[in-house]
Amino acid sequence: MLRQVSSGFPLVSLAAMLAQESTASANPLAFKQTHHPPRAKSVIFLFMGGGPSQVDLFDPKPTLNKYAKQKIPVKLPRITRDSTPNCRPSPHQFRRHGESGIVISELLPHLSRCADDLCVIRSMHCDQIEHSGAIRQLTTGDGVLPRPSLGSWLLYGLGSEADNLPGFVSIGSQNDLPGKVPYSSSFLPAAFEGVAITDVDNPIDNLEMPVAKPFQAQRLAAIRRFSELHRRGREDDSRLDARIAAFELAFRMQTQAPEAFDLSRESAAIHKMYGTDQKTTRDYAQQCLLARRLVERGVRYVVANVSGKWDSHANVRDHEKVAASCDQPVAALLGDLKQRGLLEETLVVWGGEFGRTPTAQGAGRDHHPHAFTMWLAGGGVKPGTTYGATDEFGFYITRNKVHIHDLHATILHLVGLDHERLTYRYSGRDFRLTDVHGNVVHDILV
Amino acid sequence: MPRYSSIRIIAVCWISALFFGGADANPADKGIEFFERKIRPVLVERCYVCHSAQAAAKKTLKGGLLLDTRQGTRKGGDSGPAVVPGKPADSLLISALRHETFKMPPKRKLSNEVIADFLKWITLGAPDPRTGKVNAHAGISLQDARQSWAFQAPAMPKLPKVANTKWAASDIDRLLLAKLEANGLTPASASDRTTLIRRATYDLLGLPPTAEQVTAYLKDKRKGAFARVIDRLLDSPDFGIRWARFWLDNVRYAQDDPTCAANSNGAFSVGPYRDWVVKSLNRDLPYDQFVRLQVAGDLMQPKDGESFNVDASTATGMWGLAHVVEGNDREKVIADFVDEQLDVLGRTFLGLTISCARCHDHKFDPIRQTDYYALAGMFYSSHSFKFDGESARKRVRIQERAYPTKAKQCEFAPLEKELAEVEKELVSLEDKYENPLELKKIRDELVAKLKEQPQTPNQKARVDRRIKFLRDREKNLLADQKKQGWKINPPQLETHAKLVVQRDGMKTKLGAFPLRMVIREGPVPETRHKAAGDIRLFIRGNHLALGPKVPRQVPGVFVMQGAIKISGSGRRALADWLTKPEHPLTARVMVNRVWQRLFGRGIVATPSNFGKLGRPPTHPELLDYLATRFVQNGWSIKKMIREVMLSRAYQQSSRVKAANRARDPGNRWFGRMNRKRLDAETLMDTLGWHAGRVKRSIRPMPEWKFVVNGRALYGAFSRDKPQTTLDLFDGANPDLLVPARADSTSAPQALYMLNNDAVTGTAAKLAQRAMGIPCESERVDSLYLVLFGRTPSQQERDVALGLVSQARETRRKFATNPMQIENGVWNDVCMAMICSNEFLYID
Repeated sequence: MLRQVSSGFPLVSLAAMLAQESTASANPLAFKQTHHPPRAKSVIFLFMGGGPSQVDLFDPKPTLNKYAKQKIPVKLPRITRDSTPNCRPSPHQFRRHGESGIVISELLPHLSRCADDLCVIRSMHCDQIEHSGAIRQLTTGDGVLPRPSLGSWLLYGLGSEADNLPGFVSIGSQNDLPGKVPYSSSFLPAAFEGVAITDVDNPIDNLEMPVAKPFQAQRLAAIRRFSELHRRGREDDSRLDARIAAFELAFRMQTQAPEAFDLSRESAAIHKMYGTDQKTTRDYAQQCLLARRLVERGVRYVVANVSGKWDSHANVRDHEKVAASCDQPVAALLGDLKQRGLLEETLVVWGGEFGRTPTAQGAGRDHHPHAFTMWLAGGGVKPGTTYGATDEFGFYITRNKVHIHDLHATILHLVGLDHERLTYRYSGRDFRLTDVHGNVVHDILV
Repeated sequence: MPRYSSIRIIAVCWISALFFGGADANPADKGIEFFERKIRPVLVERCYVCHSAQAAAKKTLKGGLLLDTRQGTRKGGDSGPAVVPGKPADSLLISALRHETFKMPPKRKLSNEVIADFLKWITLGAPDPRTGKVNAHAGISLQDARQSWAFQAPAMPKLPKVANTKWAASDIDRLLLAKLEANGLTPASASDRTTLIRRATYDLLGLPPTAEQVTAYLKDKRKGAFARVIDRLLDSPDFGIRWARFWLDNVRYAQDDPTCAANSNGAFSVGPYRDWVVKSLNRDLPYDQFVRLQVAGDLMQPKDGESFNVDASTATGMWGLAHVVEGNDREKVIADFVDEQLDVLGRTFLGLTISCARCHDHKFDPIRQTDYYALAGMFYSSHSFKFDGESARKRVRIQERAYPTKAKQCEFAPLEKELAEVEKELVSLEDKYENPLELKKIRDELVAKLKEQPQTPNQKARVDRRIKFLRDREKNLLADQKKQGWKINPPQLETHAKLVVQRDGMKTKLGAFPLRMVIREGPVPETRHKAAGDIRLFIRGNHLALGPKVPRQVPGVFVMQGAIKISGSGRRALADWLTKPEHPLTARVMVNRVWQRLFGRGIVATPSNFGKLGRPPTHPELLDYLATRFVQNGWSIKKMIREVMLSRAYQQSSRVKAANRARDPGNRWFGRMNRKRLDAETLMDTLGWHAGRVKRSIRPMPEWKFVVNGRALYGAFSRDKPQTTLDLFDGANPDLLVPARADSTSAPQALYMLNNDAVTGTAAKLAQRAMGIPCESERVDSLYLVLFGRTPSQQERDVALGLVSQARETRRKFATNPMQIENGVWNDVCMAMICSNEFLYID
């Protein structure tokens, strides 16, 4: 009998499973055996929407000064957008930080103090040049067609550890790709869909009780009683028991979930550390703090979204504002996870859907999928590392290319899943997050 | 690029070396000697493991490339010729060895010297003594495939002998019973009447039977009472609303396509198509017609030159539901659009995963890659969208107004033009005065929201959230205004408002001829496809790697039953072919869907995959029987439904007999009815019905007319904004083809049932009505009848009354006002009944 119902989700009937050609177990969110021992239990993805500029943040290119306003001497790609081919130097200073000497620009002073925790990948690339397509690719692997999101695959592979919470939570949103693609389970069972939270103050739908708790409890007891009568002669149908279990869990969630989402339970010092007390940092600080509370409670995959703000077409200096809004919260998150001993088992991923051109578009920079920077920290990645390299303009990658598929393969690897074995039968064939691509970047693993 | 120039330098060096090298020996012998000495050993050692007949036998052949014969080497694999004698630059082998196009060998690159040898060999004309023949297409044998049941026309099966001669009331029953007996099972007992009418009403209408309908059926002692119930239900316009949803699940129904939301292809007009599906089902449009009109209704117009068959073109809107995907590459956008169209054609109409053959021959089913492009040519020769101007990122669906005659079209043409102009002007104003317009809109909404008086905590939370959002937005806009200095109230706002009124007026006038998506003949305009015609195969599915042209045709596995003659795009011929009475799949796939909806699972459990990776039919003879009957009865869906529902098989109880339970726990052999959970729309409609929000369509056939009646089918169904509630209960995903809904049980669902206004509101209405009945025990009876379609047993009545007293006791602890207490108590009882399993699961 199926007694255990998990909060993010559910039990799929045999008929539905047959129809979906799925091989999922009866409770899709039940804890599952990993393919190999995991290095990380949870993943926090700090989604820097809009496309942060690698040449202004992590990948200094002094040559751009030399070629300022001159045509960049590289062969331009087949499809470009409307930037000019003229080089634009970075207005920002770079320095080496920490013992590892990782290079970070002055835009991220707080993060610079965490340099020794970071594994900076300067050689990321993707296939999509527009936000919507690139966000799709970053979140689902495919830049074009509806596919399950990374978090859904992860949940499908691992099951959930959170008893009274959803297993996959996306905080905030990406306005450049409306709809639910970034957290959609697509053809995976709905059990694996992420719960999107747009308002930290009202995180989960239908949590508010319509009547006082004793009356609600009375209702629950009556539901149980009616269903007991109904159950007679239908004992073989496990869905009926599962549904009552779901009601009981829902009743517990009504009291416990709000606690998980209640940031006021944190100390003033923590709030100060993240920056929820400051206007500029409040929004992202809340997201980061919530992310920590959730992984602490066993949520597998949390996305904290900066929506589109890195998209500095008009002026490179617009990066200053957005960097200021999330630098402190991100650094605080790393420090906080570390001080709680959670960083070892939590993989933190920082990055956007693409980078920005080293060339100018007016006073700003255009989209650049051919080379950009992301960083990872915690859960099994080599700290204090810089991986990959770009040419002297930061336009193309010269060493150790890491495609989005490779990143996905690596993330799955770190949580104990083999991206080639994590498959789902749909529409007559086995699908993978990485399709037929992806290589685990072993060089950056501990 | 430096890399390319260095290649050229090497090439030049080698050519000169040839000219000046040994000129005295017989060049042919020398060439063979060179091959044997320098080339063959490398091929054997480093390439054969993946590229030889031996590898093919071991199923480790990669890329379809065989390098163990001359023929194979020259012919090449999926990506084209590996070696072009004398032309190293055109020989993929060279660029692969250099790790430019492919990286071969993948693990360790050959040394520069060895690569130079290959270059020399090809420049010499690639002399090669190996004579073996390449075994073409070892993968798919169409001959063998045609023997499989799925590719042979269904035939009326011989009715089997059964041991229990009493049970079967129909041929369906005998076919089913034979299988049950063969598996040592017996059929379940017959359902009682209350169960039956509830099941039938939900199956056909997606709504519960009314108390009166239940009572009337229980009283009807004449023969054929259930048949009369079925006929009444099939005649109800609600039938089409329920069954349309099943069809729409299978064609990717959605109201928009935000794949590129920043551009102009967001919302499209799909309402007329949806309504046509409802209407066609209600009128029992024969399924072959139903298919023909959707595939090629635009090509089945009256010949009088005066009138239009509006429905026929509306039906083709189905093709427009494919995604127009991301990207700046027009060719890729078209390729992906056509791919989704072929996916619908394959899975929904044929039960075949044709799309699998986009990049290579189907791995399991007899669909070759050429078959894919033979079909794709028909859709490349038609279009449902076009690019709007220079940018590949601006695309619009082809939409036309539903004029019944040319005269009407001419009459309204000027108004359409005027409307287009007004809309253009509006867009330009909205671009220019985006901020003040938004500010005004926000302030208007704010005024309205502040006036709202939310009734429940949930409503209040929602309104507060919205007000907070609006205030924030207002603040941001005002801050921006201060910085940028735009006018808050420019005179153009008034112009805008006037134009909106004007536009709406025009739209109302044109509303009699709704805009709807259609497909048109001819390729997408302003692309490299200039006219209807065959297209070239995409090597490995890559639209930039063109292979040979493939003549348009139906897949080869079907050609034995007659090739089709293409004219125009070829869709007309395709439609004719699909609906041939002897077509092996069209009827089978559809009757299986009917069975699936009535029994909770198809005879083929994967309703859109009749291929090898789908599930084989549990009852192949029954499937053929139904398919044959379907065609015999003029492809009438209603007759099919009626015949199935009149069988004893359908009328079985859903309770499992102990003996059957062990032998067939999953009910593979249909030895009982499957208990079905209300699907997302049915649950919403049922709640709405009890709350009085949903109306039944009472107008009988044939004066059927579409009425908006509050049912979920007519609600928003957007790919852009998720339908949170429908999703929660496993509603269809508007991005996908959904042959069967999932059936999940989750805590968020339970939260919805416990706390959502839609549920508590319904309970409040029911409680109010119940409290109008003076006697408490009669109240309970009435609620049982309304919610569960039956009268309670004495024990159930006692339990319910016990719960009433308990609730009263609890309530009394917190309140004194007797009216308030009573109201609360009956709300509690109604909530519990709505949340109980009997409400959600249909026996």
